[in-house]
Amino acid sequence: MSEVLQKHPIETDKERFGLKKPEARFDLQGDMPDDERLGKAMENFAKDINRTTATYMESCMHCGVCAEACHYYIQTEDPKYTPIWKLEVFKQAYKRAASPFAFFYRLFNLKKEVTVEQLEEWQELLYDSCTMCGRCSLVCPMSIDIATLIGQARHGMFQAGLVPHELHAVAERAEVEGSPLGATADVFEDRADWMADEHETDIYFDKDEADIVVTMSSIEIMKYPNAIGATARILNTLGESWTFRTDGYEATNFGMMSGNVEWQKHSTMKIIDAAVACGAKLVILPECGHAYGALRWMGAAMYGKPLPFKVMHISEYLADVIESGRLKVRKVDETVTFHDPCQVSRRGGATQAPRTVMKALGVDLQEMTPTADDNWCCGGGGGVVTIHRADDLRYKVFELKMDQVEKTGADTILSTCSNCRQSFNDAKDHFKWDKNIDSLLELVADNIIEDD
Amino acid sequence: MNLLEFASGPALNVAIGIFVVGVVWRLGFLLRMNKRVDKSERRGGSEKLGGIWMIASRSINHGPLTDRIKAPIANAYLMHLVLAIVIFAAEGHIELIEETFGLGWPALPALAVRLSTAVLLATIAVTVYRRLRHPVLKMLSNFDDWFSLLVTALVVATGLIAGWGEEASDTLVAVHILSFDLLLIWFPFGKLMHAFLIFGSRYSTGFAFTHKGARV
Repeated sequence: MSEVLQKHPIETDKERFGLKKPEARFDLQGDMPDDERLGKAMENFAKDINRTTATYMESCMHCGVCAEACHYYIQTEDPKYTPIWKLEVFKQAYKRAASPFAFFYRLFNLKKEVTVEQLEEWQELLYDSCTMCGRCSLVCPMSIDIATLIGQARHGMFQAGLVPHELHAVAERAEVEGSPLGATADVFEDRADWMADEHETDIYFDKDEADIVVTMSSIEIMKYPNAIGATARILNTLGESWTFRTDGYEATNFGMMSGNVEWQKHSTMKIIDAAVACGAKLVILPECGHAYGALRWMGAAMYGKPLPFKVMHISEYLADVIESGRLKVRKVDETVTFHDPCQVSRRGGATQAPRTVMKALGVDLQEMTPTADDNWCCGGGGGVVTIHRADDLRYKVFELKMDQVEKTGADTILSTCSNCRQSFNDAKDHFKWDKNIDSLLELVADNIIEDD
Repeated sequence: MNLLEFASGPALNVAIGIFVVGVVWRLGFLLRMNKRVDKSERRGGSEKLGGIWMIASRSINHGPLTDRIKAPIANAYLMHLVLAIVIFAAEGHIELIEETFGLGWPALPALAVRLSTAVLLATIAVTVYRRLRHPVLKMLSNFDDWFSLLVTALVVATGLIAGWGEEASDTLVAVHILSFDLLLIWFPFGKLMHAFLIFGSRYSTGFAFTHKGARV
């Protein structure tokens, strides 16, 4: 653990890691001199500059349209939450150091050198107030994918030791223990045994050969373990050859969210190696939004070549087996609304899958306005839900989601992301809200029609 | 050499030279950079078609925007529409294009062009007003934004004045061309480059989103 983490101990016994009253508005890890901190931030940000990201950096017209799509700006009307502004210091650094006219910028000092103080100030904008939901990318007239650039900026911030304590702590814990929430392999096996009993089903571990490797998120293992049993029941009903692997079960990737590419790669490679070891043809990702992006879309980059297996989010898998007629489900007489996890829908392209599943279940789906790719983020993604100092802002942002839900008239919200579910449950407690957030996976498992 | 000859001769040639070299340098610099290759399994259709589609679709589909942004977007549309009219439908401009490229077409009546120019100037004024008043735009705006607006407004205003009467004076036309020379010189260095960058930026996102099967 870093020195600063010891100075400001984190309450690890709390439901979520929390620093109630952080002494500093920004957090620092390590004790490197400012010059070194700055150098590391810029060097690691620059590593990711390529044709696309440089074009994005060049293209902003300062029209401010992105603000109108950002839940942080909409709910606070504070201009500093304008998505492209969250990148301002890195744009400044890019223009001065790596842009086509960098020479002029330096010669006439048109763009000043970025300072550590600026980076400290921007920590809140890059972490506390951006879930990387990508809604801004949908409205930018130049189609700048701001969320991608935020992820890139976080790479610089992490190496400079400028990450919010709690997010750094969970990322570090995931790297050291294999899980950000203490869901080590032993803990996972214990809880899976419990769920095997609860769900009266078989749960397999560490098969030498299996067609499918199934992964879980720590949030599910520790908070929503029924997901383990529900997944097993569905796969067993279908007669799939499947296994959990203790050497690659954790789908969350806090290395990615905090900005540590090396840790991101470690987490991803565990799953890839486990799947390769047992000759899997398919890896199923759990109800977790960012886990989908981490393996489905970024896994090959970590592996250095195309993945030798398919990757599906559990909602895609369910839609697939239901559409093909392999899995039959009972009709559910319930009015629900659906919360789209940003990384699965808007940024993942699997927007239709959960709707296919809900149609098969026959639920009375009352869509939110806006919905699907345009849906509002829950405010908990991108690691924000771990950052306790950002709670008030997160609750403010969640009011937007509450309003959306209320207008549907539904009492139950379904989703396919345990991180969103956690954000909903936390806000539900905070606001004493009377709505229920449930898992689509668990609803399917509860309504399987088993062949005689 | 009088002012008009200077403006439309050596000054214009220098301006065109800086414009061409600057634009080629800025775009070439970007094109020479490493291209990220996505090795993940593609879900959507042709990424290249997706990229091309995004160039068009983002002009039509503004996604999940609130009503309060619709007026500024309408202003931007109007600005670009009348800009196209003024550039390509004014008699003087068509004559210049015909002299240079040998290609001409019928001009709009002078009154229609004057009206379009006045509307263009008004849309620029609205843009300036918003940049001065809106907290987000006030925060984002820098020298580039203001200077780009200034040089554009100069060309439009001098064009409106020069084209007002039946017969434009040489001095007014010279001032108009000089302001255009200034715009050409500034173009590669500032925000006016969005006229070119828009293709690369939209294409990149359309390409990446189509790869993932996300909405373009």
